[in-house]
Amino acid sequence: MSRKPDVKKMEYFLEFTLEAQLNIDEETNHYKADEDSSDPHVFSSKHEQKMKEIFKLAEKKERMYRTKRRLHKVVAGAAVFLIVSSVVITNVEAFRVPIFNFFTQVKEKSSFFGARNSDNNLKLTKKLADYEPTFVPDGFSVDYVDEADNMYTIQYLNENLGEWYLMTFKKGISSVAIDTENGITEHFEINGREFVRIEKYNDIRVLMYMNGNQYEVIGNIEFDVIVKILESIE
Amino acid sequence: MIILYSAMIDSPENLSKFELIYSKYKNTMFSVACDLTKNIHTAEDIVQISLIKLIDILYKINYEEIAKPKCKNLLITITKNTAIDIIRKETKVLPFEIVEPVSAISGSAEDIYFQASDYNNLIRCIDELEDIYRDVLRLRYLHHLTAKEIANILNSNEFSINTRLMRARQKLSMKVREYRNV
Repeated sequence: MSRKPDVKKMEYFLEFTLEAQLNIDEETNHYKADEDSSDPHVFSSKHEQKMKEIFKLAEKKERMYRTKRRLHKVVAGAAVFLIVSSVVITNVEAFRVPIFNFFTQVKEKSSFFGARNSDNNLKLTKKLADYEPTFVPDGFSVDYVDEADNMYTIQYLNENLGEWYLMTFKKGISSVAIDTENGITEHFEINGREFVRIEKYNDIRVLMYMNGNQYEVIGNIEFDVIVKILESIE
Repeated sequence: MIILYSAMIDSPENLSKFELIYSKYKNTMFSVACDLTKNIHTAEDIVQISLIKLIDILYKINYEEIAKPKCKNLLITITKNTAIDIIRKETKVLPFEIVEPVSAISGSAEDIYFQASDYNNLIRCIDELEDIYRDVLRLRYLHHLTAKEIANILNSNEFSINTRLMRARQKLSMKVREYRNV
């Protein structure tokens, strides 16, 4: 048996005995409480005046303790509420399904969950940096950059997986003739942005038109990833 | 929901804990102070100082404990020690405490285990202890005050309080052993 519980037990026993001893304590029994006193002392006005100040001091201190205690209880209550809510949401199907659906719908509407990668966002001059995508898929790095007055081309490479994609931007081109021969073409729209998807041989090419500019990604990466890249352009 | 919860936990009974103690024990405190000082005005001052000391440990007193002898004893102890301190200062007598070396007392601080069968003897032993030891034991084990809080009430310092506490436990242990051997 460990020593610590024994000490606790002894302290509790001592507390219990000390309280019991008070019943026979001469000094405690000698002085009566106010309601049992037959001849209560009338305190001076000076004392009563001083007591008003002491009451204020006590009130201030008591309020401080109450606030502290209330704060602890509120924090504990909030924690319990959060735990209970989490348990209810994860266990009760009536809650879980709508919440799961909500996040799925959000993901469908906007597939951009990536973070801006500062390393890849500094490859262009200030003039065209605003048109550069902020999302770069994991494992990709810039292979080369070609920048002209109103256009740029950046090639990204994932050497480990042998994947690549080319990001091209052309300013002031809202539509242009594109080679769709022998390819599958699909037009669609996400969040008011117009997209054209062309699949030819093993490569996917996606064009996006926004604010009178053309953005294009071509590469051997997944279509969903290309959409994410284009959606990350602000 | 949090606002509702906050309103629920704010019990109104806590608002007047200090006032309740004062209304219940002001004359008790005055009597203690008056018995020691034999002066009404000084006794009133002592009641005030004692109540200020009480504010700092008010959080340790539960509302339902106020009517119990435990609370009355705490106020008597605070008042008595405040009065002793004031008398010392007025008579310019330096605080003096007979310090027994710890080694002079047999039994160590670790050796203080009491059994349920010691209960009646222990009550008797506590009753027989000197005031300074009984007070420090009560403040520590009955009122659960820290060494710093006890030092403030007994007009001492934390080191002396811890030493006194250790000595009190040893004395109590010794007395209980004596009763066991009888």
